[in-house]
Amino acid sequence: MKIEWHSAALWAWACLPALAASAEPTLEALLQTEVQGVSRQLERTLDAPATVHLIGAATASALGHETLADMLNRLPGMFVGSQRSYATVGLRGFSRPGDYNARVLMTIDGMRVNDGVYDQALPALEFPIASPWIKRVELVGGPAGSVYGGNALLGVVNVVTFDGADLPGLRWRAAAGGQASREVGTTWGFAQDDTDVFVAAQIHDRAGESLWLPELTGDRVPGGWVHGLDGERSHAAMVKWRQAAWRVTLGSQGRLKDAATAPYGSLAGTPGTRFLDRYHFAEVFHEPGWRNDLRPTLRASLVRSRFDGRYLYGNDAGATFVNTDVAASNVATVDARLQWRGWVNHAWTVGLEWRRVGNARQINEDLDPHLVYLDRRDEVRQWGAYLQDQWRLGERHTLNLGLRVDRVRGFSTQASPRLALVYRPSDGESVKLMAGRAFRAPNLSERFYEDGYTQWANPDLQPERVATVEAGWERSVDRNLRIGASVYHYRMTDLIDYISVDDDFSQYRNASGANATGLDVDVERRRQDGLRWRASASWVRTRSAGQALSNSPSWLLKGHLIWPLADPWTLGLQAQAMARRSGPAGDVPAWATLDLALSALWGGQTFTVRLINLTDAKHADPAWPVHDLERVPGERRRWVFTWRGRF
Amino acid sequence: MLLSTIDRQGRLHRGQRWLLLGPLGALLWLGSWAGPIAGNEAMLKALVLSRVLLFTQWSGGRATGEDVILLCASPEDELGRALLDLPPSPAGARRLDVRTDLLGQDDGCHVRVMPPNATPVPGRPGLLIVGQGLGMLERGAMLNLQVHQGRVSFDIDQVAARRAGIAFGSQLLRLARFVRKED
Repeated sequence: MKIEWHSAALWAWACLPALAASAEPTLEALLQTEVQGVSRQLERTLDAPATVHLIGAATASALGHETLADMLNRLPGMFVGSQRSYATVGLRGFSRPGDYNARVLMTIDGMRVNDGVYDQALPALEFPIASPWIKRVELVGGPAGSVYGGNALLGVVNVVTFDGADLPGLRWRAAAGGQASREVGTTWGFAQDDTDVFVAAQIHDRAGESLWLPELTGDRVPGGWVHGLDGERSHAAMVKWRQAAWRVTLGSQGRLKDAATAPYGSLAGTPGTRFLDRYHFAEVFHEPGWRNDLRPTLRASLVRSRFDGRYLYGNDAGATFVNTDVAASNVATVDARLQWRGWVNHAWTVGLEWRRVGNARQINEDLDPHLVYLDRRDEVRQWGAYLQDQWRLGERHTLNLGLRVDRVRGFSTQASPRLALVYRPSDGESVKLMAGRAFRAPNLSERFYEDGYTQWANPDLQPERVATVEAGWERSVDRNLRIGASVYHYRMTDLIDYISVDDDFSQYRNASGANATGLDVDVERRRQDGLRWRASASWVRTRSAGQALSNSPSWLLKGHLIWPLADPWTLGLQAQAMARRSGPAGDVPAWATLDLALSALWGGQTFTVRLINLTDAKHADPAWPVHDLERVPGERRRWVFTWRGRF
Repeated sequence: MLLSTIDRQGRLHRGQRWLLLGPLGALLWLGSWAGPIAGNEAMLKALVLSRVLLFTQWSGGRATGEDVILLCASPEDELGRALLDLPPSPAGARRLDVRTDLLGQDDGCHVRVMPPNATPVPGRPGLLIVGQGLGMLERGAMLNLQVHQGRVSFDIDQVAARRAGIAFGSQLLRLARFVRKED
C-alpha cells in the first residue's frame, strides 16, 4: 500500500491507525500516543521513579543478539553468566553461588515469569520466549517490592514483546553457525481496527563446545577434555491476541541441555546427564482505559513448569545407574488494580494480587534399583495488597509513595515501602532520590529439597530482606546524547545462602547479612545518521562478615557501537570486561571479550554474520557448588550467520 | 501438544518440529498493513492543543461556544506550522483560526503559542499563553505542552489563567500532568 503524503497533517493521521479509525480522536487518545523520533527514546526514563535502563530490538538486531541474556548483558550493572547447564543472573554485585536468579523478578508484558518451585526465571534459551519477539527490555534497578512483592529484591526485568502492528505480515528467520548450531523462527503479525495478533515460533539446536575441565581428568575425560556433551535444543511458540481492551497470550517452551560439567558428582565424560525444562503459560489481560476518573486493570495467568534432571552415576565396579530430579508446579496469579485520578496532582493506584503455587512436586529418586530420596507435594498461597501515590508537588517535583503488604503462608506478614522523589532541573535532566525495602521468601527448593547426597533441607528458613537508598542523575544533551549515573547502597539481612555444612552436604541458611555500595555510569549517543553507541561502567563494593562477597565483580565495563557503513552494510561491535571474582572453589581472573556483527540489508532481506568472542579470549564464571570444578569456562569464538526475510 | 516435541529421552521429534511452524505457513496468504503507533511531536502537540481549547472558557464574551478562536504562533515554530496543517474543526465545535506572526503582535489573539523555551510575552486579559518545555509555567505560561515519558502532556497554571479571565474545564484538570492551583 503506497500513500502519497500531501501534508504533515495527513502524515500524522495516517501514522496513527488507532486514531485514524476515529474521525475525531479524543484528547485522552492523543495523550496516550507515543511521540516518534530517535531522540525522544533517550528521554523516556527521565520521569520514571527508579533507575531504568532500556535496550530495544533495533540495537539487539544490529549486534546479532540471540537471547535475552545477550540483551541484558548490555545493561549497566547486569552480569549474566553461565554454568553450562543454566544461565545465572547477577545485578549490582549480587549473584550468590547456588542461586541462578531468584532475586531479580522477570516479567513478559507485565506477567510474572518466575516459576513456582525455584522462584526463578533465566534469560538464555530457558526463557519462555525467544529474543526475536522482544521489542524492548526494561531493567528497573533497585527493589520494587512495593509493587511486585517477593522476588523483586534487586530489580525487575520487564520484557515487552512485539505486537502484530509492529511486525506485520509473515517473517522468517534462519541461522546456522559454529558448534553445529541451527535455528529457524517465524513471526506473523496482523493489525486492523481493534484487533492485533502476533504469532511466533522458533526452534534451536546446537551441538555445543568441547570443554577443557581439568578437574574431571580421568579415564572418561582424557586430558581434561569433554567432547560432545554440551548440546542444547529448544523450541518456543507464542500467540498474542489483542481485541480492544482484552489481550490473551499463550506460550509454550521446552529446552533440553546436556550437562558436560558432571553436576552433583555425576559421571564425567559420559553422555546421559541432562536437564529438560518445560514452561507453558496463558495470560488474560484486561485494560479498558479510563472511565471518568478510574482505570481498572485485571491480569490473570496460569503457568505450568516442569524441570527434569537426569544424572548418570557409576560405581567402582563399572556399573552405572540413573538418578532423576523432578520439580514441577502450577502457578495461578490474579492481579487486579485500580487507578484513580480524581484528586488533582495525584495519581493513586490500589491493587490486590493473589498467587497460588499448586501441586508443587519435588522428587529425587534412583531409577534402577528404584530408591526414593525425596517425594514432596507442596502448596504455597500468598496475597499482596498495595497502594501507591504519584504526587506532583510542582512542575518539576514528583513524589512517589508506595507500600505493599504481603502474606506468604508459613511466614510473617511483610511490608515493602518505597519512596522516590524526582526533580527535573531542566527539560532533559532529572535527579532522583529513592529509598525502599523489599523481601524474598525462600523458595520451595531452598526449604525442602534434599537428595541424601549433596543437600539437606531447611524448613526453618526465613525470608531475606533488603533496604536500599539510591540517588540517580540523568541528562539528555542535545536530545541525542544521554548521560546517567546512579549511586546506591544496599543492606541485606537474613541473606539466604548456600552454605557448606560438612565435606559432603550443603544447606540453604539465613546468613547474617551483606552490604553493597556502588556506582553505575552510563553514556549513550544516537546520531540522526544512525550511528549510535553506548558505554557504561559499574563499580560495586560488597561486604559480608568483613569480606567481599563471592562472585561479585568489583567493576564492569561495557560498550557497544552500531555504525551504518556504506549502504547496505551496518557494523555492530560490543565489548565487555569484568573484574576478578572469587568463587566457592577458587578465583576467576578478570576478562574481556569483543563481539562483532556485520549486517547487510538487500531488498527486504537482512543478512548478518556475527563473531562471538572475536579474539577467542579465555573467560569463565566461578563454578557453583554443584560442580567439582573451580570454574566453568565461557564461550570460545563462534560464528553465526543469520538471514531474516519478510513475505 | 508442543510439550511432546521433546520426549523424556531428550529427542526433538523431527516431524513434530515442523508442527510448530506448519500452521504459521498456512497463514502465508494473509496480508495486513499497519503503521507505527507513533506520531510527529509537533503535530501531536497541535492536535492536543486543539482539543484542550474545546474545554477552555474565556470570560467576558471574548469567545463562546460558537466563536472563532484565533491562535497566534511564530512561523519559525514547528508547532506553529503544525497548527496551520490541522484538519478542519469538527462540525459544531469552535473554529480555530491560526495566524503566524511575530511575538508581541497579539492583537485579537485568544491564544499565543510560544516557541520552545521562549520567554512568554507579557500577559493581558483574555490571552491564553501556551508554552513548550519544562518550567514554562514558572515563566508565565498558563498552559504548557511538553513531552513526558514519550507522550505529549500538558501542565496548567490555574492562577495565571484565572487572572487573565480564562477557565479550564474540570476534565482538563484531571488529564493534566500538573495543575498549579494557588500562589
